[in-house]
Amino acid sequence: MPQLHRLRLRQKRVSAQLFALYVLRWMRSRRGTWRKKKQKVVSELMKKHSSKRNRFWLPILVLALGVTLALGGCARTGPASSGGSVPSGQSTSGSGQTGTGQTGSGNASSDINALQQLDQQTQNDVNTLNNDQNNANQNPGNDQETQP
Amino acid sequence: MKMLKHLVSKHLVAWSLALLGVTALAGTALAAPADATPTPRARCTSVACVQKVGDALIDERLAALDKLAGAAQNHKALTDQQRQTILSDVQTNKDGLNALKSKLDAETDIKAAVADVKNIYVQFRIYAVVIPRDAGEILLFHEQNVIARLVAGNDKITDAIQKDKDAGKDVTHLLALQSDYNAKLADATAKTNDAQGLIPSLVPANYPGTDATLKTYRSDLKTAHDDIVAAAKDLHQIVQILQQDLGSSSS
Repeated sequence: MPQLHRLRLRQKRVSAQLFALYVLRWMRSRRGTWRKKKQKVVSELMKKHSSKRNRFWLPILVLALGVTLALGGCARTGPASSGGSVPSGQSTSGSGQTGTGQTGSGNASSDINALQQLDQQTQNDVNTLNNDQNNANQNPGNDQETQP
Repeated sequence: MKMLKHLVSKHLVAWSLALLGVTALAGTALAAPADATPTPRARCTSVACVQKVGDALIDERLAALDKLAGAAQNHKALTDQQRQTILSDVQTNKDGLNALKSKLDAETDIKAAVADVKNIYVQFRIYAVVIPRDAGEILLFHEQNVIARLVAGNDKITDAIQKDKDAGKDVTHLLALQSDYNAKLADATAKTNDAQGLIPSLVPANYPGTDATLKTYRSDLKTAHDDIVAAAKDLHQIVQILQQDLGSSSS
């Protein structure tokens, strides 16, 4: 009889141990999913945060870029449109020159580029003109009448 | 023995050289009279002979006209209209010569055949009038195109000189160059106009008076050419000065 009692006690202890083990394993498995859940929540939060941050900075960046470009454009076109302002550090040679003296638009470098192209083209033309002149001065043949 | 051998070989070389020299001199002496006095042309006594001579004369002229057409066709500095002016004139003359060739080849009378051959000269004057006139016209067209471009470029020069002046630079030399540039272009324009005015009188009917006209025509074209070259030099100097003055600040 006491042996039976001991056996039952042992059975209870084993089942309690098994239950504890099961609970432990379940908790461990849950801990993995919690971690994943936690990571997911964190990443979502970060994403939300960063997109919010982008949403805030992007227009500012675009605005800054626009302002820079506009200022740069004004600075570049300013002298030409105003009719010949003087480069920094230099003075005008006559008061009548500024404003009315300038006939062209665009900056000096574009003028020089255009003149360089014209110069280059003209140099080529001079060479071909020499050929044309040689051809024009050539005697192609004799047109003196001879009776057959 | 050795001495004798040496002497013999030395003499052999000397004699060979002398012989070679004499042969060469004789060759030149014999060839010279043939070049100096051309063999007299034999007169044709048959229609076939006249036709053969006439056909050869026509073929030479057709080949020369083809060469002229090729020069106009491949000329990149001419406008299509200018090119067409030359090409259509070449074609007109080629058509006329081919018609004359057909007529000559169909002749049975020697006098008529001789008259046809005479017409190669009288009616066409390909060498004396047509080719010099048209080759000059190619030069004239080219000159007119270059002058037009350089005259249009004067505004850019004025702008750039003004900018140079505004930058505080002394532009006296630049203005002198620009003035010379414009003067040369004005003279070139006048000379090309003069040359163009002579073209209508450069026709076979006006031969041999066309010789003097051609001389003036060529002289006008040459002066225009020289003016263009001078204007091109002025432009080159202007560009170099402007590059020095404004190139560094603008780049």
